[in-house]
Amino acid sequence: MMVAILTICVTQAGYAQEAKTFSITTLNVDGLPQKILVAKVNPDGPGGGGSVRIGRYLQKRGYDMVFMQEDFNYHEELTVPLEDDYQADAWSGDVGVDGRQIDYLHLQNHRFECDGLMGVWKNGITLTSTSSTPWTANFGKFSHALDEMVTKGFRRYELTLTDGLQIVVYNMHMDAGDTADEREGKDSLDRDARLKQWNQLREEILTRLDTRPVIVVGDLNSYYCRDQIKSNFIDEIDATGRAKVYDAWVELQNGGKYPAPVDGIVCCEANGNILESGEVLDKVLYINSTSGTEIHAVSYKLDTTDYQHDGKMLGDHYPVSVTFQIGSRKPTGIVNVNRETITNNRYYDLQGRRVDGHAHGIVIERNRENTHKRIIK
Amino acid sequence: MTTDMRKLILTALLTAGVGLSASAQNAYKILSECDTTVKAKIEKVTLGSRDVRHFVYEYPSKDGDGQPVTISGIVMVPADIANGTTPCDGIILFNHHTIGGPEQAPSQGELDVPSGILANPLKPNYIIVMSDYIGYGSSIDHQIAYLCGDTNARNCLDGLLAARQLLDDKQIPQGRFLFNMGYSQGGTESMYIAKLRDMEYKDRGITFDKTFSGGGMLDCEEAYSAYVEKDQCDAINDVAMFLISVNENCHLGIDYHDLFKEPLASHVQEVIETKSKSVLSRIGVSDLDSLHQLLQPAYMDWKSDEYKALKAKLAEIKITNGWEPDTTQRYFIEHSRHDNYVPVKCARTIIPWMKSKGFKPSLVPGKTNLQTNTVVFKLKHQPSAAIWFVQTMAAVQAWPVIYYEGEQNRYYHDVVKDLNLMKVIKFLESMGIDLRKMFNTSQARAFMAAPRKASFFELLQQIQDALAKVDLTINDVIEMILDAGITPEDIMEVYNYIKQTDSSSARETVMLGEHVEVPVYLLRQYEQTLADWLMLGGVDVQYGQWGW
Repeated sequence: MMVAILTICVTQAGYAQEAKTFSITTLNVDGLPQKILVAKVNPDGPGGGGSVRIGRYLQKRGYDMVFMQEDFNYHEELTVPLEDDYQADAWSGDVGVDGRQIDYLHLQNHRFECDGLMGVWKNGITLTSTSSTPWTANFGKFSHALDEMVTKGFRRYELTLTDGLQIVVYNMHMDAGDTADEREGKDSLDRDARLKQWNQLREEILTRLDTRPVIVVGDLNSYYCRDQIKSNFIDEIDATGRAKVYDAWVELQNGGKYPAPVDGIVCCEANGNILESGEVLDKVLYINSTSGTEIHAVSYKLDTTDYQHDGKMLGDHYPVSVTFQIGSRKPTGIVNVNRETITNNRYYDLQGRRVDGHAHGIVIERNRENTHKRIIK
Repeated sequence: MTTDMRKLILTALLTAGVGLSASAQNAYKILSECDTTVKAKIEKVTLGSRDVRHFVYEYPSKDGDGQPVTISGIVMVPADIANGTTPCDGIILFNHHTIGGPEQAPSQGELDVPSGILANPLKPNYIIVMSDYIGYGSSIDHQIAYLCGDTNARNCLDGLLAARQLLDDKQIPQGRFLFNMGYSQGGTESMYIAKLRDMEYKDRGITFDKTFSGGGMLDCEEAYSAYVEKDQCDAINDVAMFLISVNENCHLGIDYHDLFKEPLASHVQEVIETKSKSVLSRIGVSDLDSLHQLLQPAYMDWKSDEYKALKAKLAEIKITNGWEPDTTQRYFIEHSRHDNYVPVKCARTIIPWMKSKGFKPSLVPGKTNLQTNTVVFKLKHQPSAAIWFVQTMAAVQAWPVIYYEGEQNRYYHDVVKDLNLMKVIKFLESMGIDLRKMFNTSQARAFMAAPRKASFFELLQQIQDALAKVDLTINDVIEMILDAGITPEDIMEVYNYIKQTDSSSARETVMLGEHVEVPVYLLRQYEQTLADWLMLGGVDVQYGQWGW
């Protein structure tokens, strides 16, 4: 039986009325194709219909910014519901064989060029600069979660919010591990790859750090107790004296305490589901420059209640959303952190992947020029 | 190999001197470097072609007495790897088969096997390194060491180290994988190379991902016995060359008139000097079909001192002598049961030896570190090479996928780890091939003389009769089973299963207990093999009342 920490209600006192806030969400949309040729790639994935549902979910929530991972084969289904209200990043492409010249005799040399990363932000927020950077280290092409089959990495966005505040967002998908490998303690090379990615990210951030707040979001495939996030990323950046790093979940869900590293095979729960602490692989970290405008997380939500359809999870990760307050100092008026604990033994595996799948519904038709889109119920 | 290419190489050889020299340990000198196109052919049919960069190089090594010698060889790099447009998967140390004479040495451009590897339709992205072996190319003034100890193996390993240096200096990537392979003489040398690697070259950065040995004389002592015992042999030339090589390299001092009959006895010196089989053909040795026509009676008589002395020397130089194998290395040993050049017995004795060193044989690729296949039973030596080649090429091609992460792919591992006979039968059933149903047809039951009432050993006898029709004995089958790593329990499980008429019927179970009294009189001709097999399966085999 697993225990999941689901929601948090934050009551803000003091200067809550004049505070300016914005919300950000990270979500792995599970957009790998259900099948490539005869191979079942993601048979339980949401597919086209489910992706439309995910898009509609996001539209309904109305977050200021949404950063997604695994936006591969159902990009249009996913983003059509968001078209009216949001501006979107450039899509890097799908995972598939159609129209591609693939050297099947040497699959070891093949890598899909897409990173699966996608960002959308509400109309009014402006993008001034963006860049994509692949990870320099990956592990696993035909096993260990097949990370090297796509071009995983991070994207950097310079955004100006409606009130003029400029922020920098890093959206990423880090190296995954295979659940069976983790249970057998054979994931050390996955961990090594992730550690190198954390280090690459740290160097990138420090190189380009200025006075703007930085937000790091994504499917980080990392747990504090398993991956050396604290010592290699947070402490290293803090030690420069130029900036301070926070994790919204740590602050608002875990009493400000980072879970300690644990030796051993797997540092998670008893039955292979979500960590008892409520920590998930999807994280929202933020970095305040010591000489710039500060932001602070004032609410954190892992939506396990609404992110479903017919009782089944929409994707294979729950969305994590965080509301930030813009201000020069950390809010002191958070007086009530209410944790709701539910019992749930269906949804997460060790990777945060859904156990059950779903798929019905809405499809998209395209005209011959492949430009017109129409949602049909 | 094209004529133009040969000309280029020969021209380069004549004008040699523009070589490079690296560190003393891995020094080398390039004799020629050219770009050319190679083709993979079967008879006159071209299967594919490929542009390659072809190096002929030489490097220091040692002869059989430990004296320095300069050896030559080739390095063949696909052009797309050499120019950096295609990633390299690794290096194949290819050890050539018996050649007809010095003009066929790899450095002379005659051998077409490397072309067949690189230009075959799978287009493997590997670099091929081949040594001439001592006595050919740059070491033409030395005697050859044909199937005799580890001299050629040392030449090949030194050649590999020098080739790596050459590739480094040319800034050509070498990939991640390293294979050691050869068929016939190459199969023999591959195993000597594996041995020498374990004993001397392990610390010099050589770790093979797999050694593929096909049709090799893996036990020269057993080979001599087998040749003499059988008398008939289709490779009289090679046997002659082998015995001359042993006498010369091991300094046995046997007078060739004591060893060989005429006409060979009077022409041995010419054979030694020319290293050419054409001499043997000219004097008629190639036309002989029995060993006793070649050898003096003393060397055909297992009771004679001469026979025993020669065998003793062969025991000294055989591959297994002094080898403590590294069980992390992987092997594929294939040998046709009807090999007419190198009797299967010469090869398969190494399998139980490897088993005693900790290897577990298996017919299934990648299930264990020792993949065996001695079940190719209808093919002679040369056609069997094609089977070996196809299996080897498939493995090499698939290797970067299966071992991409440096370990066996989990998905593949999960498929093969528990694969046994019973699972094969279940798999066949899932494909619509119901062996149990076939076994229980009235025709089959009549053929098997009501097997439900027969004992296990009576059944074996009946199977023997059936196997004779396909030119096999039950001894062959038991040896295949042994080599394939199948246990008595596996057999009994299958036997019990296929005997069931349907799943609901009462099972007639035959179990092998800890003590089995074997009715040896039924199985006299394969008693020792059967006993070995049962004992390896953990059965306590006792002598019965008929004696054993």
